[in-house]
Amino acid sequence: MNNMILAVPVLLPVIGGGSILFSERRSRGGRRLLSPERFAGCLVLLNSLIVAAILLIPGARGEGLVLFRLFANLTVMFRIDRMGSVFAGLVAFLWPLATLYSFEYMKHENRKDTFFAFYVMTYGITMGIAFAGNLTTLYLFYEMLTLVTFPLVLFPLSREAVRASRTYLYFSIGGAAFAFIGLVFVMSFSVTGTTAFQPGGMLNPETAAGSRDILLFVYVLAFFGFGVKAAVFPCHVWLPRATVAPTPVTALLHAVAVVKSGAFAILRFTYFNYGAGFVRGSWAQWVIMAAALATILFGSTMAVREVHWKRRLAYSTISNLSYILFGAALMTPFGLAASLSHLTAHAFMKICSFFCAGAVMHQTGKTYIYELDGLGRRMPVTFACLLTASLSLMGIPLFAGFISKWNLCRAAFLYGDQYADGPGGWLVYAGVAVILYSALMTGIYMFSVLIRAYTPVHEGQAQEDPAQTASDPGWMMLVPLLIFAAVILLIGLHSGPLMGLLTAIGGEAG
Amino acid sequence: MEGQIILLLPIVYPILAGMLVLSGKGLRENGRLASLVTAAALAVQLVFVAAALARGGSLTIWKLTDTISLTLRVDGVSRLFAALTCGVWLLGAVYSVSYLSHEARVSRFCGFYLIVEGALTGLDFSADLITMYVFFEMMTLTSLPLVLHEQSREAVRAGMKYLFYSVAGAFMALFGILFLAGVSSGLAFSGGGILTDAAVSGKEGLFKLAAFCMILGFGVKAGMFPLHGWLPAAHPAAPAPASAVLSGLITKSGVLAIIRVVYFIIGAERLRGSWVQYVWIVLALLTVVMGSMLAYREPLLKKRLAYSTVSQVSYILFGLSLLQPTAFVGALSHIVFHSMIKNALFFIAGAFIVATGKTRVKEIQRLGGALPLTLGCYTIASLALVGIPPASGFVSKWYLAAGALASDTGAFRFIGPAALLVSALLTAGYLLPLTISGFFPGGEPAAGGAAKSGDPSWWMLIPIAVLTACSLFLGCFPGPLLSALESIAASVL
Repeated sequence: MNNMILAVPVLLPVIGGGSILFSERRSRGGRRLLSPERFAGCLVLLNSLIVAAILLIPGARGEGLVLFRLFANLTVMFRIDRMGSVFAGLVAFLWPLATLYSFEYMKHENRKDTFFAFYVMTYGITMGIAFAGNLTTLYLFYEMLTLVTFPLVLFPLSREAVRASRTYLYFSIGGAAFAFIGLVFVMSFSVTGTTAFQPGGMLNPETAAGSRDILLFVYVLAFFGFGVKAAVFPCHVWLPRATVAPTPVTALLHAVAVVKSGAFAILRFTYFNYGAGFVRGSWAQWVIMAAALATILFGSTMAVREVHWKRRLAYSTISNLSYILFGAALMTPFGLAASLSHLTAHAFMKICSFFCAGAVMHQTGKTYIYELDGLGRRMPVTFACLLTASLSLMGIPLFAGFISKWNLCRAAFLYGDQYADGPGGWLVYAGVAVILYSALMTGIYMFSVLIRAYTPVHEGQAQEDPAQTASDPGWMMLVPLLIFAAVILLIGLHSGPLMGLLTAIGGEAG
Repeated sequence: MEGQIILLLPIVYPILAGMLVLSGKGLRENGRLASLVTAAALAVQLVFVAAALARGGSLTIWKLTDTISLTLRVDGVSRLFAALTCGVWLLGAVYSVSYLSHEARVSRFCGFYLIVEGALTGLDFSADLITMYVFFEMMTLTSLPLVLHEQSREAVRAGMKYLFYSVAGAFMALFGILFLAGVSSGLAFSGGGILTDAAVSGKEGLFKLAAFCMILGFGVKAGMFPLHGWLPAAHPAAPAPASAVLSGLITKSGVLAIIRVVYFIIGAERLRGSWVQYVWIVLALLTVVMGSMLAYREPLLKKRLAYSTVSQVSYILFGLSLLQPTAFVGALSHIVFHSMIKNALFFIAGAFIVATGKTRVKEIQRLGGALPLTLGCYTIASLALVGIPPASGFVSKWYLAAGALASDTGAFRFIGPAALLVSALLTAGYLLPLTISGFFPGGEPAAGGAAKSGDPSWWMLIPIAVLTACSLFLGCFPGPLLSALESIAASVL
């Protein structure tokens, strides 16, 4: 049962990242063999290779690992199943690229040690969420994720950053408290008395049937609790504020690792603890579906109104995360598969968009959309990548976003065919309409950026603006961008293998 | 990839050629060379399209997923649209050689002009709904730079409007496509429709909603009320060759999409007598009359022509909405005639504007002396659009009215032809004043209204003359065209 190798990808970055913090104190004044960013880079790369080895070598993942027992049934254990490996693989692919990007982005910043230390530690914690074998472990790492990313939001130390990090902390901790209630109930109603994930759910059908309504109520509570990280309306407030953090943080953590941990936790909780069948057709399903749809509407509409580029992208993230939750709320096998496909596709397109925004900030210092005139010509590669990401976010065919939105909408229609007799059956069709509305809004908020960037500066504006001599960033920022753009196209053109895997996950857990 | 590879050639070739024109350093400085290269490339495209149409057959390009594949096929409707598109596109390129000679950034315009042609050919050749959707989006996005070309504030606003309306329409249509993908085992086009009764039983309400969404959504591109707002903004903002093809052909891509959806997927029978049909008829007729009225009171020449397009394309939609063979033939023939006439008119408007430097109809006067040939062509094209026999507009309107009278649509049998007549009167009212004031100027000359130069160069005059001649010739001898269209109609109704 105990396969110690599973602990390595979790502990290595945590310990390694921590050591950066300590080495900082000890070696002040003296020279170090390895600069903090090099050390961080090696750690991240090594960790990704280990994850790749665990995921790809047959048998390497073994049966699982019980790290320790808090008491009797409360164990911290890792086990990798297919859904965990999708999330782990995604994170392990993105982290080294984002680290490469931050080498250049952070070049002129002070306190690089702090940044890279926590950046690396977050990697380990996220792996812990991906590998978690039961809800207790997931919950533990979920809380740790809040604490370890808190210093990254605080990093600029400006008044705005302090305010943002405080909001982040309050919302996350508060949300986790709700999730904790879910944890307790899952444990008391489970068949085995543990919280181990079981495809299709693990509640004891006899005892659970008696307390169905209270369990559903707790489900809704936990949904909103975990939903804080997934930025479900009205718990989304922290996300646009947190864009004050350095772009590698916003891009990797607030578009992928942290927010998708929230979505991942909801998927785990729904499909592996409660079981989709338990919630399907109940009032709880309509409540969470309505919440997801409201968030999609809210996020994409707010994104159109927002003129600060990174905040606009953050609102876009809010709406896109709820696409994932809408898929999850369908409570069908294909709903789960579609939800995971959007989780994957959105990771690439949103990190790509954020990195483009970061590249522009880094090269020109511009953060508002109305300042971008003429930059498309100056930074052709960056904006070509942004164009790819925008088309994909909109859901134009041949790009990844089309595939995932197609799956989501198909899943909704399929649900309508099978279970349309429920009291809120029309809600799934409304969901399709909402997703299409949101796609239109995406077109507006992404393309107004692009059109501005490709329109030259008008006569009235100052010609000696330093931005007019800007150019594409160096290779360390461009390579990740180009890789993400390529992946977006690859998924868009050839999604067969990916969808095969995701459909298998859905079939097993739905 | 299996099937006739040659079908891919007329799609990929213009796109590659366009990319080369966009990236060529030498062409960026020499605009005239760029437009000459474009015209030559489109002349070659004519050969490729002819070869592809002659060979026919089908081709599976690529499978996106297990259920979504990109496939091409050539049938009667594709032949009609592809031939029309590449012919008119070539004339537009020839016209641009002279028209764009004073513009900046010609190579960029020409590059996208070529790419859009490729996307449109792809649209014409699409064998199923999803492939068509792919090319539809591609066409929208690649034609956007044509609207944005001037880069003025007005052009940018027009471009955004164009994009957002188009994308909204496309997503509305996508709702329908998603629904159909669930109820039907495939989405390949087949004359008469592919839906079975079993497929939609129990879901009639949702099915009709989906059908209506698709008609309305694709109708955005065709400028159908209430989503016509982008058209009068976008067409005049673009340079004349672009407004010509936008009005003449890109609006028709919306029509093509509706034909494919209604006649090749859903099947006309399934909509006959439903609320979808009646709402569609009402919207089309409203657009016909409203477009003409707005054109009548519009002072800017190019914008007036754009409103005229709004009205005329809805003639086609009205013909399609009747779900009746004669009206269907009328609609298809009006696609051909209106493309030619409206392209000619936009080309001529460009020539007028170049000659006078003015954009308002009131300021463009007394051209008969200076530009006799251009104004002569304008007069013939206008008469054709009004529908005076023997010019071509008469033929299509005759078929449309006859089809309406023969259809079983209740009061619309009479309201339809009446609306067409009213609109024809208005058309005469908004087009002919230029002729009258041009050839028969009364009173003293208005200040600065006269032309600064004479007839434009041959590069511009020949496309104008060819299109005008075609619109006259096809009106006099419509036989072969109509019999071809009748065979298409017989295969779908």
